[in-house]
Amino acid sequence: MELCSIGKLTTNKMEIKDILVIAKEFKDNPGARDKKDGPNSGEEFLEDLFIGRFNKAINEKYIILVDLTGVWGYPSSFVSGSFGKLSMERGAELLLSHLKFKSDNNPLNIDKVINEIKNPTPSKK
Amino acid sequence: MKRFYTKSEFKRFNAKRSKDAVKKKLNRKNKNQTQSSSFYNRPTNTPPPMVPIKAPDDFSLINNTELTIEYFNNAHYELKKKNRILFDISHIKTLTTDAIAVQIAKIKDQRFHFNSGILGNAPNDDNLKKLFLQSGFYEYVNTMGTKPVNNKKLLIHEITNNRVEPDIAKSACLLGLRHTFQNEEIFEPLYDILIEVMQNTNNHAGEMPGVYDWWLHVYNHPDSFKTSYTFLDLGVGIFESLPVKSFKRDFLELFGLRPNHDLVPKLFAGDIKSRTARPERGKGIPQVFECSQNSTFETFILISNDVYADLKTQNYKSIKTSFNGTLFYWEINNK
Repeated sequence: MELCSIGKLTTNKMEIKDILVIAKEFKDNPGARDKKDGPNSGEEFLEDLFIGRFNKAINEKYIILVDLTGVWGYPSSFVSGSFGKLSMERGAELLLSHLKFKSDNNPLNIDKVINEIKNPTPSKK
Repeated sequence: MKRFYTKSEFKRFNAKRSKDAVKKKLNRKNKNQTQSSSFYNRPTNTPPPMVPIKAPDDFSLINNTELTIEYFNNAHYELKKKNRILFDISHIKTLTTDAIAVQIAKIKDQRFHFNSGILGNAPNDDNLKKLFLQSGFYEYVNTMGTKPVNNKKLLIHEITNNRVEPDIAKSACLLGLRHTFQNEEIFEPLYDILIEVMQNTNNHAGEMPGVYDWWLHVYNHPDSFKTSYTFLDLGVGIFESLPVKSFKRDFLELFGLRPNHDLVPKLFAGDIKSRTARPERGKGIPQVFECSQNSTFETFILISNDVYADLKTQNYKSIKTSFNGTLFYWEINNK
């Protein structure tokens, strides 16, 4: 089996078999962190859309390309409630080995999401 | 008549009993009147006095902060005494939209008006009257006669369940971008700021999340490409919120008593986190600060409690008259 490295990680080489365009498949205007805080929250994105796709990618050993393009913004609370929360639960290594990101209009959004995955903010115990 | 009732002993007994009953009744009446004398003494059908509250000539929170806050505090003081008030802005010489937004929020806030009567007037100056009309003020108050027509499409929104509302944030962005840049291209810093300030109100305006309403006012300046945004809540204010109070206790132990404005750089740097609150809760205001540094934002002011912060010049100062709540004001312009 062929190996490649992502930063300090060494993983099996996998192919991109799924593309998730947040602006089209979720909303182009993300909201707060938790569902109770309002609509389009990070928690809503995670539970209603992302977690199922992510689990499938793990089971079938492929990568999801998450397209961040065309969204009005990525508030810190949304990123924390979605990618951050999943990273807390499953670990940054697993997420980074199964996810790739693209953002045509603002590449800084990729850094923002990857930074949250690497340094997730824990939920209230 | 029974013979018994005609006897002198019974007549004496009956007269005494009757006298005692009258005495008891009078006592009861006097007691009730003493307990709530003001209620009984107040003439019925007489409305409480109307107290005119005169706005400062420069009616602006961002430019004339202390006098404008004092004007609202004076009104609150009279309303608390159950007096009716007249918001008198007829004589004002300058006006900014942040003051209008605060006046609407105050009029609508029960914690401010105590269900006492509030009347108001409009500026005499024609230009200011036009601005006042275009601000959408009359959409939120009752008027005598027909309501003045407002052709300008503006947004003033009160969220009673005080949540983060991405659709309103997007609409507010579009309203500004269409006017300022004549297009609908995404400008992420503006959207991020709106979501973060909504989240801040939702989490921190009160002891419990989601207690206070927030207000958003967007104004397209008709003589330029400038758009003004005012976002405010009448909650406890940033420097009286739980995370900052908790941080202040630690800060006090280390450095002694310091004014609130000394904490502003730490707040913007994300160093203020509650010992008990969730760690992600320190990220919103720093993101607002980061976005505000974009050159599209011409002005960016934060007023909360006794702090006045200019985010563009990074000049932070104390104000003598405290603002009970949090107000963000910013302008975007196409230079």
